[in-house]
Amino acid sequence: MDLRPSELQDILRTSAADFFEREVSFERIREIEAANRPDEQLHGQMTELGWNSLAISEEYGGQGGSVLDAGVLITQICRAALPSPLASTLVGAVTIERHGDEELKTSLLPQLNNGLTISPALLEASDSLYGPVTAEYADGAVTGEKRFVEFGETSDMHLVAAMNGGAPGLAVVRRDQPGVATRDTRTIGALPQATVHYDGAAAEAWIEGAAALETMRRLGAAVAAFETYTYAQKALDLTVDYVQMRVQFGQPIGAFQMVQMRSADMATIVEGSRFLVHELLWQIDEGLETRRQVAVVKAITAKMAPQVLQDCHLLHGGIGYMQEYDLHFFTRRGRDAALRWGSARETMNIVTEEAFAAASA
Amino acid sequence: MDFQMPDDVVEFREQIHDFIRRHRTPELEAEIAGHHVHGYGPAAETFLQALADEGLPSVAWPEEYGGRGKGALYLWILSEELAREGMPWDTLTYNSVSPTIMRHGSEEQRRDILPKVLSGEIRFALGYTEPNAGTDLASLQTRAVRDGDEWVINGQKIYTSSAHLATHVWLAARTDPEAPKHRGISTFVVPLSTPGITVRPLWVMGEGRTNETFYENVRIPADALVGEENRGWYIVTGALDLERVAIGTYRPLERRVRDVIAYLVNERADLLDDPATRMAVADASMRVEVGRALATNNAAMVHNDLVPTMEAAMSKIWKGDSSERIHDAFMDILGRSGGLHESNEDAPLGGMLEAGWRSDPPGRFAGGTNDIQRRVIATRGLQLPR
Repeated sequence: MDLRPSELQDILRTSAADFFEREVSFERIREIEAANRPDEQLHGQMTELGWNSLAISEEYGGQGGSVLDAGVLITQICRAALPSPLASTLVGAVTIERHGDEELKTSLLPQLNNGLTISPALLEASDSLYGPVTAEYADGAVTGEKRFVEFGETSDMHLVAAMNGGAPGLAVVRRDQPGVATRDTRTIGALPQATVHYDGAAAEAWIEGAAALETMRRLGAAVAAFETYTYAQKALDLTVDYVQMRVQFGQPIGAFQMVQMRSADMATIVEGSRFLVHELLWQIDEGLETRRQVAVVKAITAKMAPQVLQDCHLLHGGIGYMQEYDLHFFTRRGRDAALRWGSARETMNIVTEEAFAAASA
Repeated sequence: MDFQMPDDVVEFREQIHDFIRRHRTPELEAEIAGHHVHGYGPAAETFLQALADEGLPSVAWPEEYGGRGKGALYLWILSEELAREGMPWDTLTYNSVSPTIMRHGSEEQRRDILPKVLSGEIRFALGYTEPNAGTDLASLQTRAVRDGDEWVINGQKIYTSSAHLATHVWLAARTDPEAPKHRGISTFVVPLSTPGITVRPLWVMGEGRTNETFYENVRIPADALVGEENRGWYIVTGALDLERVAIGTYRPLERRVRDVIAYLVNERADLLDDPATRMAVADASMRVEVGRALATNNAAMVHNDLVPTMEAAMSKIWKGDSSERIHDAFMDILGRSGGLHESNEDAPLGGMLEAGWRSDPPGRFAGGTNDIQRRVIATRGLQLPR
């Protein structure tokens, strides 16, 4: 047991932090947000660094890293507030590597090194992680509607949860075709998301089985929990810096006990979350994660983050509310991440179900 | 990053569970069930002695003092697993005072005291708090004055819990009244049988007692001083950090939550679809999970030779606050029955919620109040200005 980053993770963290520091100013983030689509040049650079295939095994052209290693990258992406399809692509690609057949894996996964992006498409009218899946797959085509598809307007492939004659599975659908219509959705996180209508869209492959769908849910929820934590941590770091510097009544406001107590409480729940989200990615790498564990970690981060983020605004006062200040990037993104792949309400209900089931066993 | 417990630690955990299976007697079970009222008795003593005979409590000590030379992670695992099973354990002696003597005591003191801890001849009570020195512990006034080959102690301590059961008190006393308050304190090991010590019970709102202890011309030998004279404040704060790691254990809470959920499932099917109940069950499970995270984080730091300060405070705050909130939430969910005392045959969970809520305050103020812990996090952890 050693919770310090590995040598590789340290190198990855440093090089990613340097990269974003150098390449991604908040002015550029503002431009990307205004365009409402990911920056292709940046994604190309990140792909060249091997980041788009980091957690895929070398057998399929990847870098052979772990999901936890990819977490180190996601940390830096979130801390830069960059709208990047890298995390959603990770969820799709790892699901495909775990459940796809050889033909699909050898044809599709090496394309990650050319910048291939994948959007998991799960939610329907219920907006629910475990809500009914009504999209249909038949004769190599998909019909149905999906909501909140991350980067759904620009990604190369969609990984669409559907039913094949009553059997659940995932269809691999190329976005750029007549049977796929996308409509931009504006959410609190200001990250590109789309409602996607599939009308007999041709699928390149069908991955059959509830297990594949469950892997996608768990990966999606774990990564969203990880991002939720990261945004809260970043907002807290900005706040701790700010209260040390901001002087009122002749002293830094961080010297006031009210401010200290609020900061300590935020730091405590954020620190607990830090451990849990990293442990969860490690469990996913080791195949040790459970439905319960994914739900409880998602619930903890989804419940903690909104309060922490609002308290960061409270301690910043007026300046933190200004668009020209950068705090809002992290608070809006964090609130959004808390809702993605299972809200607190939904995941808390799963935690309760699992607790009742364990007590009945 | 590697979250895997080392294999030998997993084996050690098995060894503990095997030990518990072999020593869980009906007499012990009865003492455990009533210990919050009556304290532990002979069965618990037998259990602790058997534990010591098997070399478990000294697992982290060097072999020359009767230990097994394993790291502090082992000691943490031992106290966690005992807590999970609700077994008796002397946290103050084994997790706080003994490791502190190991760290600061002289070679002679270690050779004298530590084997006696193992043989059960020494059990510690803490002599820190005084009527006018609680949270502001460094302003303590109990005096220790050197007189030839002896120290003479005069003063009063309060909340000396288990002084009526312990053999020795681990005492912080002022040895230099002229020095700044943090630099005039020293630490001593004082036999409670020494003439001049009076122990008076104070009955608490939970169950059972704590004590006031009075010291009137109490004479102890010069070598009862542990560590350097006037450096006691730093020894005490180190011991408190160790104590907080231990009292931050989430295991009793985990056990409590498991029991409550089992009760709901088995006895109160009418509540299982109630939204407020479902959210309370989830919230309690989440609190236990965060407790596990903070506690394991401490253990990993200790294992990697890092010193948890802010992290120990976080664990302690979380456990104390969560215990109160969980007891409170489920008491409310059960309505009037939730407040039934264990003396009522129909008290849900044997009155556990009523007794639990009543016993929660020390979890939030003992070992440094939670609000002072927040100051520790803010100033020592987040580096906010003092």
